[in-house]
Amino acid sequence: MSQSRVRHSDIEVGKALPWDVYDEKGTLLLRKGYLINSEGQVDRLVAVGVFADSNALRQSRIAQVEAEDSEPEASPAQEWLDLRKKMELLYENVELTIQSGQFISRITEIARCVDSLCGAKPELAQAIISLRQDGRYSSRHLLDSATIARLAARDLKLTPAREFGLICAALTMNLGTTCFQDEIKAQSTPLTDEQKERLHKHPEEATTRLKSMGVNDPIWLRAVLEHHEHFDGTGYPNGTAGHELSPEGQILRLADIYCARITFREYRSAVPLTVALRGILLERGKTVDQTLAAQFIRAVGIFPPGLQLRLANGEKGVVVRPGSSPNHPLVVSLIGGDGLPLSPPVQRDTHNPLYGVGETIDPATFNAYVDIDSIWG
Amino acid sequence: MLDDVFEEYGELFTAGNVCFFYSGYLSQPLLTAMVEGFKVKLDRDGVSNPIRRRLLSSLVEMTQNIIHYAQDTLTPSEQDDHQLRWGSISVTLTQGHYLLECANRVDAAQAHTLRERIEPLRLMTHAEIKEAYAQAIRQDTPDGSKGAGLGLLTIARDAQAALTYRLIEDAARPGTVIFLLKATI
Repeated sequence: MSQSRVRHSDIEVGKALPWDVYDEKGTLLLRKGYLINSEGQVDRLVAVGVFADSNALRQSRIAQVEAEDSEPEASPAQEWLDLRKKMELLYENVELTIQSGQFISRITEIARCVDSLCGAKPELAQAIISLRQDGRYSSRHLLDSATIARLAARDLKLTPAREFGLICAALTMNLGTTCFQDEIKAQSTPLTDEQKERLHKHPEEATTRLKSMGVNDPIWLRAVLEHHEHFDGTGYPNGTAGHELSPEGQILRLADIYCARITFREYRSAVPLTVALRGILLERGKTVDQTLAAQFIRAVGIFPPGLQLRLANGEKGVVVRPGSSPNHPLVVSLIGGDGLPLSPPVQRDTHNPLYGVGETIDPATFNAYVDIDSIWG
Repeated sequence: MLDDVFEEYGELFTAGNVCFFYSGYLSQPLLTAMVEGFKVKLDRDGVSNPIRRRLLSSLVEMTQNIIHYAQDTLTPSEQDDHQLRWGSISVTLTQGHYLLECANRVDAAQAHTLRERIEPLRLMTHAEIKEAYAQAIRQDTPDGSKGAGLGLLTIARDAQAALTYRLIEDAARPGTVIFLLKATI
């Protein structure tokens, strides 16, 4: 009789074992029908290394997979993480996809998903940006910027067509330079003159490539071209200034800056969300239009979902969503004032002075698991 | 030199976000003891059952891979029980999620197989991984066969983000490669 190793997913708590269980030497440990009644029992069996008849194990796995087919689809958080993978795959094969004529249709498909996921759970969309910084930076950054741009555009009441053009622009703003973006993201030294020149040319390069693929949406093209232009005319590639700039290009610039700052880099930690927003506040009236900067901050929130905070009573947690006022978000506390995990986590209204907002926490030092599905799912 | 070593240990000790770290020879009894300890920590931290299951399942899969396939072995390489092989495994809690990382030496042929298995798996969506898992079971794909083995598929299924891996050639040991794998939960 051939035997295979039993895995965690093979054993279900509260159900009878569908096969006999043996140890490494073939000694019978548990008979078929034995009831497993705790997770701890499963852990112990799997860690010890137990085996079952290969054919019987295969049959039970098939039955399990068939039962899973009727389970609900992926959670919203998983849908975001899947979308990141789709973006990464698209940009890994970008030249091939362009050559096959499928690039633009793939981008618009992803843009529709961004729009739909942002619409369904806007707080989750924001939280996942700061709480799950995995995968390749360059493609993730485009998706993050598209998300923030979409949320800001909705708050600014842009028309659906303008919103969609903006999302597509965010997803393609670095077209042709994504590898270069990864390279400079990991670099700890200042950019060389050659790198600066390449960086300054990339908005034009991306716009030219999009046009060559048949994109003619002026919102999309202009936002890509202008996403590094400054309100005071000190930006690039053309030094366009003031109200000559499109609002979409400036929203995209703000989303781009914000997402870059809250991202962990090889040479520095990610800055807390509020610090990134303060940076934008300091730029208003200079490189950023004052009104637009204020509107952007209002849209993202002074205390954005996912922000890690310490409360007045010493508890640490994450912002779930805005509360009764912009200064008083609803927080879920994950670590108690004594430094021990809170189980289960507790929701706190920071309007209550006992749970008032204390200070923001450096994301690198936040030592608690944030169960995104439970909090925002 | 001793000071450097202590400094590194000190960093690990005080970092607070290292849940678990082991580097050295690994065996089945050691895995059992590791899981016992880690389980207590997860219970104390109030980690929900689905997340706890994913973490422990991936920790077991990664350690089993080292015990069965790592190149550096104290026991004869043809021995298939009571194996004792060298590798590293760690679990850290960072920015609100767990990172499981493992490393061990493999030979060039194993490295090639690992790359062939992980590459297509890496950017599959959750539904695609589930489908690949179902297909592997229906086809009765054994762990040592071509196509993503059940061990890697199990880790990919439990992970929430793309699996990350590195294969680093070791000039000091030609023909061997250091394999590193990272899963996010």
